[in-house]
Amino acid sequence: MMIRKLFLSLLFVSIFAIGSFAQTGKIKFEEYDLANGLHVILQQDHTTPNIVISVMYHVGSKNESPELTGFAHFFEHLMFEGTENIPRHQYDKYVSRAGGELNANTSTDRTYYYELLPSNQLALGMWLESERMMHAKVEAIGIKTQKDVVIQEKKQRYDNPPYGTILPQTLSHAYEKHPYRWTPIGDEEHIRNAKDEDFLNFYKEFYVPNNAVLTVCGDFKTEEAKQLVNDYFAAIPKGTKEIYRPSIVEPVKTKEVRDTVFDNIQLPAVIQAYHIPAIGTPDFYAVSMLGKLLTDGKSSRMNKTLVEERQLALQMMAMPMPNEDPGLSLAFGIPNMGVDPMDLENAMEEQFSLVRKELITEREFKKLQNKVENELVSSNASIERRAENLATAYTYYKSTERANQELDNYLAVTREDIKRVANKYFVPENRVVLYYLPKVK
Amino acid sequence: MKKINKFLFILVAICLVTSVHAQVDRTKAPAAGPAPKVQLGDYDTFTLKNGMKVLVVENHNLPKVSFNLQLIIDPVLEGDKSGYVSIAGSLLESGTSTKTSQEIAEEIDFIGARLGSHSEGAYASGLSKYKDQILALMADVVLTPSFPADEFDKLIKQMNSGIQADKTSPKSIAKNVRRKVMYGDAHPYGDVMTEATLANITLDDCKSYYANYFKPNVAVLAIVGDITTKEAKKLVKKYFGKWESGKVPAHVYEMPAKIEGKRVVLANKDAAPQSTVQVVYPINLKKGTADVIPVSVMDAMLGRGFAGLLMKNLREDKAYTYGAYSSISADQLVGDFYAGAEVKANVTDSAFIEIAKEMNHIRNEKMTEDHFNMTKATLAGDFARALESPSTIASFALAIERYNLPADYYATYLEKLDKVTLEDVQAVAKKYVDPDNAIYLVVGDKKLKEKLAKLSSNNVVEEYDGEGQIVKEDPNAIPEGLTANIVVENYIKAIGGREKLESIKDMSVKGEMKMGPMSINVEQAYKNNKMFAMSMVMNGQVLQAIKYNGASAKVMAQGQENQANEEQLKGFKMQAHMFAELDLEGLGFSSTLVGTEKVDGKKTFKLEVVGADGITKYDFYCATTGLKLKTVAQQNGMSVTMLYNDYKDVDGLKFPFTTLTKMGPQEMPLTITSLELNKDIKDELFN
Repeated sequence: MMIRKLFLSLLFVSIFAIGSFAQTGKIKFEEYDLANGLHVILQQDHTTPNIVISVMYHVGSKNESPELTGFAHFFEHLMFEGTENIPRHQYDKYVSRAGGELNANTSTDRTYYYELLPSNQLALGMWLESERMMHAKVEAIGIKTQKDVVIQEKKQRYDNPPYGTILPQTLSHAYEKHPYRWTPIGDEEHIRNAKDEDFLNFYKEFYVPNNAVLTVCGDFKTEEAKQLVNDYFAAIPKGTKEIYRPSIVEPVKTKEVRDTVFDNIQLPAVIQAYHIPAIGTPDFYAVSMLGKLLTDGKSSRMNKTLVEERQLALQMMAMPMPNEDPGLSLAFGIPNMGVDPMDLENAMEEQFSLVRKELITEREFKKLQNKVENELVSSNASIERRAENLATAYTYYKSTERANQELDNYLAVTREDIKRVANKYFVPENRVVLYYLPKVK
Repeated sequence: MKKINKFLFILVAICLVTSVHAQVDRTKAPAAGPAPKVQLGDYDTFTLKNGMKVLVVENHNLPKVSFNLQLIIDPVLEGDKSGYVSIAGSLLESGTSTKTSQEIAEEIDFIGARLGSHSEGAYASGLSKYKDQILALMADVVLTPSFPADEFDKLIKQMNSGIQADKTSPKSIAKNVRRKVMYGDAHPYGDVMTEATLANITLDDCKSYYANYFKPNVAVLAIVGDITTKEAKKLVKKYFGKWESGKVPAHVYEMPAKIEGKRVVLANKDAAPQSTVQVVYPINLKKGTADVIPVSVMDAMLGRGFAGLLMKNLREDKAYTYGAYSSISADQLVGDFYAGAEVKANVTDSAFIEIAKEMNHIRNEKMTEDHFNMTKATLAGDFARALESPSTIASFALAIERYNLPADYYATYLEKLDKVTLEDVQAVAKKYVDPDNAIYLVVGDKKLKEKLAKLSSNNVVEEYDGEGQIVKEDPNAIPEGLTANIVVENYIKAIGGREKLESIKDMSVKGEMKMGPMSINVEQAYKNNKMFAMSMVMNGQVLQAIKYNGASAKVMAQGQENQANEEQLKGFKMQAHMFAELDLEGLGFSSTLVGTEKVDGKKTFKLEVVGADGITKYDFYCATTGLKLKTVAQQNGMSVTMLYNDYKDVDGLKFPFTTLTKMGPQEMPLTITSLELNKDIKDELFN
């Protein structure tokens, strides 16, 4: 309902989805399952008298029907409307009265709901999250209002800002079969035409304890937390519907896809999207380091040559998207005024070709490792980030402990791996190239 | 060294104590536990001999450290060189006496750290094992910048490209317009960087900015993280001890003028799917003053998140937008009020009305205790949560230095917040919320202009371009793509639509015309667009009458009756058409859109209409309503002007109930007293 971060729209932010490393060592946590299938993660941190309570549902836009897209994100709005015991428009008020904050976000693969509360409000957080898992109100009045709101959200995020449609355009060009071909915000028509019943069915299928992870981080007592988890969540029945998890495999690409989009912009943009393996695979870590090699920091290869030396680009960005199924690594550049986008594209290609041909230097490799280390140190600094990282690790890998192995996974990548993945994935036949050009008035 | 003691506070949590915790009762929210203690961390502070002040927040939870150097200086008015101050700031990290831009970048990237310079200082962070190296690089950048000419050229080029990339961004357009309209050219907050201002900037401007303002006696360095005060002291002395102090120019600016009345300000974005709407104005509210905390409560009640009045109305009730917010900021020079949203284009004016309504709501009515307590609890919660990050203590300490706040300003924040009353909230709302004296700023399609004019105190929409410069409109400009046919079709739509007009079989009109002191009764009748009759009677005496049956006509004047001649018949045939606009072409007229003109202050489209007889007349159609407002024709060699007013509805069609005819010095107003449609007028009337 709130300032929703559609994960995929974080186009310019470098993503370190999962990470952990702290002065004191690894994150210590406890985890267990309830009989109804709900996975529970408890992580204590008494630094400040605050807690975060979150539920990650293993449902994102890829679980949607191609005729009814935008549902997972739509639920993000609907789940704030009310429950059997919480009247409409009161859900957030309970949190506000307690001095807390709440929000949610949706990606292609999962939806995440959370409350940040003072530590004396643990029971309130449990009640709120269990209420919406047990019996959220999926009803006409809320659906009607939120349809309009979501359509305005789409316009504000994608349609009105310059370059706003880059992500949806890239995805629809990159995928033919896989549900990653649409964005979490979905199709305006699908949202408009969806029936109340469609929403209710979606709720019954996906918003069930056996498809969720409950995480509590912060200043609480374990025994009390366990008691409350039991009090509020144990009675929620296990889902009875079969949960749809697409097994669709996008066909291997054999030919470059190339297109031009005319948009309400003044400067063109060049976008390349390369098909890459799923998050968490060894090659994903190598691809991620390759992205850093190219555009992380002023001395990175593309920034140094294309932005600083040759002044072809105003800005360059290369990074993989953290998708549970095989996803994309994006390379994006805005040419400087008067620069032909084709010259910029050729210069980008030179950089990829260089990584394909030559091993990166020892010094560059050490630099990448230092960068990763620095970023991972901060990635679990707050209870808010930590809760999400733990929940994500469990949701994608069914191993919460993976959140503690992130640095090791990066350090396992070799210089040879980076060259190998460059040759395997960063080749013309495996990519989409889009030119964004100013609309002729 | 001064040591600030720990402050302990009870978080003022407004709890809902409702149920007893025995068997869990789902129907009610569970009770809260005892309120936890909120603890503010420590910081140390020391000052170097050259006057540089250093704040240290020790926190060893993570092996990280950050350095934030902030100059405490007055903003500089850049005027026609807008942008040079920020270019000067960026240039610091683009080369020093010993290192090139790339060498600096390579060193900092290699250790995985971050470094950035700006016009009021620099920031660096990284793993604490590299703290010596990081601070050495930061000092190098701040103390010995070399201002390379090629880096300057590159920055100018990038800034120019950046301006291009932002040109269609509604956010950046709104920002530029806001700056110019709210603060004006004489205030630094009114500076807007454009291609033109960039062209005026020289490298020397940047060098002298640095030489004037980068002095240790106006600098505060905040250090946060895995470092001890002792270590920090040693490092800072080593790298900043030799920085020479000097006098720094001070600047005083006049408070920007208060906004008088409602000013509607529009920046065009063609065919924008949404409009950016903002109600904004400058306010006099300085950081650290007594009003600041009550204002923050009031602001949150008006427009923070879901509990805010704006979100509740514009999103949850009306679904105009994804989000509507307010923000009232305190500032030592001039603060500002903002309330706004990105809304559906077709509700642009309604959105403004609703925003103003909520502003009046908080200004004129007492909010509920529940909303008030909830808001205070949320603000207290924000404060407590922010303390998780050690940089919060540093930013508090920096604010105390920068804005001359009492040393315990943040330590006593929760107490001060707790003391705010609902009456305080209403008092500050009265003082700072004023929808009647505000700028109503829109970034959206220009076609909304006429609709928005109604919101303005003087019925005027001021148009600005994306750089915040006023657009002088060409009074003769014709909107792109508009043709005479479209204007006429719009007119037909405006008076009731083609289908309805074509269904009219007959019409009879009665009216009264004044001619100086005389009063004339006028009657007209039409049938099937073929027959026409009229009479003008004064004091029972017929001045003139015409009866045309489609083939022949009788004309009576001054007691005499004659058969109409050929020439006259041609005229009557044309006159028998009730709505000639339905088929101008078929009737032999050719029309051309020749310009725009104001009629009674309203913008109109001017059509030149040439009849089959070669006689030219001009019709003027309102740009907003589509209605015909004026005709200028020739009659017997004289120019006749007719002004149509007072359009009224008759059976779903619109007719002007008063027509003012001007001929030379004469003005003859005609007022319709009765107008009837489809009453089955007998043919006899026309014979």
